[in-house]
Amino acid sequence: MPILGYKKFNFLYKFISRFIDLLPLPSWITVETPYGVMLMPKSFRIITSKFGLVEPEVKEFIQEAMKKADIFIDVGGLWILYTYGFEINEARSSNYGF
Amino acid sequence: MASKLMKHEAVIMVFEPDPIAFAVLQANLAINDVSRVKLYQVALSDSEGLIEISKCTHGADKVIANGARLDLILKNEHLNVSRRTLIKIDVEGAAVSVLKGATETLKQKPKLVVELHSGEEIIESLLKNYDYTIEHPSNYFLIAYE
Repeated sequence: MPILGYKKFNFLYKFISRFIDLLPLPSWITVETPYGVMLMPKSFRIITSKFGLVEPEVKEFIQEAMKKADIFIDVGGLWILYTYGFEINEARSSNYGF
Repeated sequence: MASKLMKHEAVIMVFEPDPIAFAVLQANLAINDVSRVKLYQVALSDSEGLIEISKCTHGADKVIANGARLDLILKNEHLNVSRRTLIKIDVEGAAVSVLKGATETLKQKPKLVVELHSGEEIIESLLKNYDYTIEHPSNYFLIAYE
């Protein structure tokens, strides 16, 4: 996955972050992500969330584990993306089923 | 909505002590019509009582939050963790405290995803005491499972 470990490209991360800072956007923005609609501060995470690229190195492990999970505990769940992914994907699959 | 709730009976617990982040969480849940998530405005740690944490919007600023141990919360909620349980920890360098407050929980070998900020060696050493298999998908994360 090309985006894997994007934080390693620190200069690119800083450049895009600076670019986003300069954009004439409100400090809090609602972004539609693959997991649902998210209210989030103006930051680099807007882009990664928009395209479902948040924490790509653990995404697959989390999603697989969540399919079988009896309890999911999100500690420091600021952006609750995985919880959304779980909840909303379940809702969508239910809707398709009916 | 009913099918949404009945499709999967997993319990979802989210811990977020920062007041701003907590309000955002509540708003995001409401926006997406998600009602099944249990939210806790506490800082998981290795002790109970007030503790100082980093603010979500600016890591250098601090805020006081209620500290609690995961072991105690799970006991109070009458929840039994298992190998199927998934715990994701992203607490800006406080993961060691969170894990030290979850020693009984760790005995049940839940799957763990920990974002690494500091104390990586201590975390690995602690988890190895519970015979976890540990992987590093990148420099920023640790995955542990039996």
